[in-house]
Amino acid sequence: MGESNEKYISLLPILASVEAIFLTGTFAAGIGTLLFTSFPFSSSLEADMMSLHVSFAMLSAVFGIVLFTASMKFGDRVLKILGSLLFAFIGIAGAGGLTFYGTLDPSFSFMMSLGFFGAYFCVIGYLFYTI
Amino acid sequence: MSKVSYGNIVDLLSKYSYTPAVAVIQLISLISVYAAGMEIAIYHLPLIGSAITAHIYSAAIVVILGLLLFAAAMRTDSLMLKSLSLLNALFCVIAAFEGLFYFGGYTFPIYAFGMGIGFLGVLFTNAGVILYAIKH
Repeated sequence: MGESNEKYISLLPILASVEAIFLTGTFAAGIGTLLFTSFPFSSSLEADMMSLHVSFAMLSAVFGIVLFTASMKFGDRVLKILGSLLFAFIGIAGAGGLTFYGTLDPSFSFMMSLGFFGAYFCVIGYLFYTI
Repeated sequence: MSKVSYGNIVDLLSKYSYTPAVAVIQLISLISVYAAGMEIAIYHLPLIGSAITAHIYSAAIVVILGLLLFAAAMRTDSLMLKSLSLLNALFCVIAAFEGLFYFGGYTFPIYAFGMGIGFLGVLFTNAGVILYAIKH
C-alpha cells in the first residue's frame, strides 16, 4: 500500500475507458440487430451485425473481469462497490443474451437490455470517479 | 463517505448547488424511459397504449430535469460539471428529435437507432455528473 500502488491506480481510468468503448459498441451493434434484422437470418449482413454484437459482448465481459479484479485490489470502497455491481450486471446481461439465443424468447432479450443499463451506468461512474 | 446516515446523504447530494440530486432523479426517469422503450422495440408493441405513454411522459421529465441540471451546474465553478450537463441537454434534444421524427410518421428504423444513441449519451453524462460530483 501507499507509494507503490500509485501507478496502478492511475491505470484504472484507462481500463474503464476501454470497457466503456466496448460496451458502447455492444449497445450500437445490439440495437442495430434488434431494429434491422429478424430471426432466422436471411443475409450475411444480418449475421455480421449479430457477430459484431457477440464479439463486443465477449470483449466487455473479459474487461469486466479485469476491472473487477483491479478495483478489488487497488480501489477504495466506492470503486469496490462499482466494480462488483458492474460484474454482476454484465453477468445478468450475458446470461439473458445466451438464454435468448437458445430459446428466442423476447423476455430474455428484455433482461439483457436491463442488465446493459446497470453495467453502462457503473462503468461510466467508475471512469468519472477515478479521473 | 464515512458512514451512511440521512445527514451524510443530504450533504453528498446537495454539493455543487444540488447537481447530484437532480441527476439522481433524472437517472430514475431514465430507467423508466429505457424500460418502456425497449419493451416497445422487443415485443413489437403498437405506438398506442400504456408503454408509449410511459415512454413519452418519462422522456418529457428527463428533458425538464436535463435543463434543470444544466441550470444547477452553471452556478458551480467546475468546468467538468458545466460541460457534462451541457452535453446532457444536447443529447436530450438529439434523442427527442429522433423520437419525434419516428413517432410523427417517418417510421424508419434508423430514427429509432438514433434515439438509442441519444439515450446512450444522456446516460453517459448523467452517470458522469453523479460520480464526479460525489468524488470531488
